[in-house]
Amino acid sequence: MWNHLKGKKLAGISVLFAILLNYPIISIFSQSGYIWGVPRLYASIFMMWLLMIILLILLLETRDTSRRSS
Amino acid sequence: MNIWIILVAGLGYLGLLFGIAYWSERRGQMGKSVVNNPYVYALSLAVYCTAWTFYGSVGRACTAGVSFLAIYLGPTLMAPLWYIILRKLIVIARSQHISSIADFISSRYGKSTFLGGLVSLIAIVAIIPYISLQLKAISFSLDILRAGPVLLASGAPWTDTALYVTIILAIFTILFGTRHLNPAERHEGLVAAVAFESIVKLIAFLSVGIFVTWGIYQGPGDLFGQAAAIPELAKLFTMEEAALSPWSWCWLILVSMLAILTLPRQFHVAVIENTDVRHLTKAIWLFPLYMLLINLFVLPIAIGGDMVFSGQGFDGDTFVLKLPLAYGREWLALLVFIGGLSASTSMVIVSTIALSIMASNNLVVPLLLWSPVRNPLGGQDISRYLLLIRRVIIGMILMLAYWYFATIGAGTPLVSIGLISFTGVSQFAPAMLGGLFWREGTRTGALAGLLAGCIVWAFMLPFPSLIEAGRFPAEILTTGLGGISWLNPHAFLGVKGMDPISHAAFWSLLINTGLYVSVSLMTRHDAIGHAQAQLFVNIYRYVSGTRDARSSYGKASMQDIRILLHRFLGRDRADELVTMFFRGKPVQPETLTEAPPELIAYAEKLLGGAVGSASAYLLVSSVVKDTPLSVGEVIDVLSETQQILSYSRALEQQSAELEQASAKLHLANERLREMDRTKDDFIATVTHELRTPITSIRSLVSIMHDNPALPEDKRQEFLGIALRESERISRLINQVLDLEKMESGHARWNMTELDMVALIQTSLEGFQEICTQRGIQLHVTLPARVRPFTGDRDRLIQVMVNLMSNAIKFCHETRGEIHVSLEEAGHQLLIRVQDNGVGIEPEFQPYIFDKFTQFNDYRTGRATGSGLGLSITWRIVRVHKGDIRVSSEPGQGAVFEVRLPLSAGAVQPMATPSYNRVKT
Repeated sequence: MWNHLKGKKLAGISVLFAILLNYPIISIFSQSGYIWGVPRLYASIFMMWLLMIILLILLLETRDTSRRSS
Repeated sequence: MNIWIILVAGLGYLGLLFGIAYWSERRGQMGKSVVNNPYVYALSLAVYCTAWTFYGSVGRACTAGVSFLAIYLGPTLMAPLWYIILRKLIVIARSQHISSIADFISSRYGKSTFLGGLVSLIAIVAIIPYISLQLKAISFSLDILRAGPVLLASGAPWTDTALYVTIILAIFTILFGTRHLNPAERHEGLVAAVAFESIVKLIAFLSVGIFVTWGIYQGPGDLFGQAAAIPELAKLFTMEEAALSPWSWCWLILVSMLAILTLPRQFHVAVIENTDVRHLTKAIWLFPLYMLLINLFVLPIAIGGDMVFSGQGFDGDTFVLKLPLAYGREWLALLVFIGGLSASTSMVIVSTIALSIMASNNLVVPLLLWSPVRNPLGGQDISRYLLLIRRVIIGMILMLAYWYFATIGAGTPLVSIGLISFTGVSQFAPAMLGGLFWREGTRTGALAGLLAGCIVWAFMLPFPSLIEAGRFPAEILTTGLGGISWLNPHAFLGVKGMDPISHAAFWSLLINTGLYVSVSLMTRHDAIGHAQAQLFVNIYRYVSGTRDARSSYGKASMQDIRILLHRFLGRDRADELVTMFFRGKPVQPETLTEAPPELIAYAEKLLGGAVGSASAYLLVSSVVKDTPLSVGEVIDVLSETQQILSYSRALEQQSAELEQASAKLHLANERLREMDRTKDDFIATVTHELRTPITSIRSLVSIMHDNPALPEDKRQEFLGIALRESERISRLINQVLDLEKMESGHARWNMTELDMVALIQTSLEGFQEICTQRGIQLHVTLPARVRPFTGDRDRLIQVMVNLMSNAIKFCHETRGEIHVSLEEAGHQLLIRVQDNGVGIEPEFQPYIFDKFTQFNDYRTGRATGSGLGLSITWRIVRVHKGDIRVSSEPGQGAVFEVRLPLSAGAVQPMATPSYNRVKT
């Protein structure tokens, strides 16, 4: 079940979101304004957070991938 | 609210936790573990969220906006990397019986006791403020709940709620974590309770969030819409206006990324308590999800609380509890209190247990083992002592936390205290991560990095907090320590523009990592350090599969155990040790096919003595059934260890040999130089010897050439001299050629059977007349016959001629006497030639057989002869395996004795030269 490629993909996700959630990218979202009534910065961070979790679920919980790797 | 309701609820909740722990342990013993489950594992990791999260995040959000999220984003970003890092940690911990992060670092760096003790000490110092934070949270939540929305001023010490909270928690933790000793340091009940607490705190926090967002306000739009109208609140919505620097954000994320790995409690639940490494895959996404959920309502609660309590000056840390109370929702407030209690107790219990394991295994036990007093652990029941030690440590840690709270921490916001701890434990990260992936990381490197990093951390974070608490003069923060401006805890080397946490994190981690890497590159592993580094970095090579570590010895065949012992202890010794083991036992090794468990343990111990305990464990694992190790792989590790050991031994030996060789070379070089000098002397002498007769021939010839009128008799005389001189030249050249031939081994030897009596008579024939002319009496004593001798006739005659010429040359001027004798003495022939001349000075005697050693003729004052005669003689005698000696007293003449062995029939054609040939 442990797969070298999967490890690299996971590391890639980590690096990608580390970039997205840090300066200078995060300054794009750090503006006044609201998304569904929530301040834009907060809404963006939580949405990126959720996106990351969804990606992790897709990568780790898909049957197809786990069968191939095991 | 009635104090009794709170107490019953609180204590009842703790009782419930205890019940859950007990129940799950019972289930575990029945083989129906509830803990062996990825969801429980992920929930137990949420022990990360403490009172700091539960109460402190809201307080942080009130003042610094989004910054509270950083320490949850860090672990979120780390979670995908667990697939690589945490998995490796778990596999190593499992196979190496690691009990804590201190144990891990110590074991990785050559099982260094000192390093383990240091890590334990740092962890305790860094975590105590963090524990005190939890005590503070529980006690203030109790105070708020008890007294309604208005905070009462605290009174005398015995009315201090925190003290009672501490005592209750200490008892609870001791009951929880130290009921019995588990060699694997697993606490199923603890994990179950912590997972349960994670659910409780999440539900409690979400309840308040929903209540504030939809109960007090009409949804987030209403809440944030109202807040937007208030400038102080609206500015929390962006980073710039919340005055959050990019630096702080980045460093908070980084530090929390490291802390999720290095916090002792996280290491404990994530690594030590892990039951199955496969649970990681679920935890990687469940844990970030949990953190997202628990942070979802932080801002609404902060903003809502700020608007509700506008102008009352309440601490944001208290909003979670005060909002339900302010709206009369006492049961919700009680749920919040229980949630906060969950967050705090789970952290306190796990942290204290983790620290107590560390402190007892890596500090107290080593100290006890070293103590000069009778070993207190030498008794029978060690587990009882260890449990007692752990209980005392738990009590001490909690009391220290209380002391910190009472003296320093009471006025500091929750988050600030927590961040000091985070930065402290993140100092373990370089040694830990380097230890996992970088084989060159050495013990000295780890030690240097850790020590320096921690000193910097202590100087930049805890020290200023002591200054603020009034323990040190306040001007240190403005003018620097001791008035040295660059020694400013908040502006080291004049660095400005960073908040204290980023500043300290930057410097401590920079210096820590820098020293770890550079010192590691400059130092070398010892043998065990190398073996451990190899094992940790390449753990997957040695461990395959993900099954449980074995808790007791399995089955192994006698044959396998024998082979192992043979391989590493030698056949004879191994057999002897096995026989010793079975002595006095009812069974005998020959009758067994399966090794008894005691023998396996005994074998591991024996191997431990030979190859180190970690290796021995692996080795035995390889032959014990139901283990995930293959013999081949283990033997590889061990062979490597052994190779290193034998290599270093071989190196030592080689260096000794090299020393010897270099001494020999030195000697040989000396000889060569000596020979070179001799050669030069030889050439110089030969040239000189040739020049003398040539000069005289030339001068005589030139006289005759220039004076045609020279009388005939004069001319005749000159021609006679020239003839003799030219004879002298040819003789000299012949001798030189002769000598050279002999030395180079090209001389031809005609070995025949000789009658030495006849030979001596022949050689003396020519001398009779010379002796008569010079008035020398020649006495010859020869036996009638001797046994035949095998030798080269001409050469032996040359020996006699040389000795005779020599004797005549140095004989007494007027009453000259020469005695020549031959006798058969045992197995050798003894030839003596004795003169009665001036003799040889003792200091010259050793050199007499060297080439061109000439002695001044005292009568003429000049040297006579070529100086080669005796040298040639010596060589000839040596080729015949004989010996020549001289004995002389000045003025008493000299005796030359030649001994020729009769048995040495065969003669070596290769003559040994006078100097030893250089062995190459």
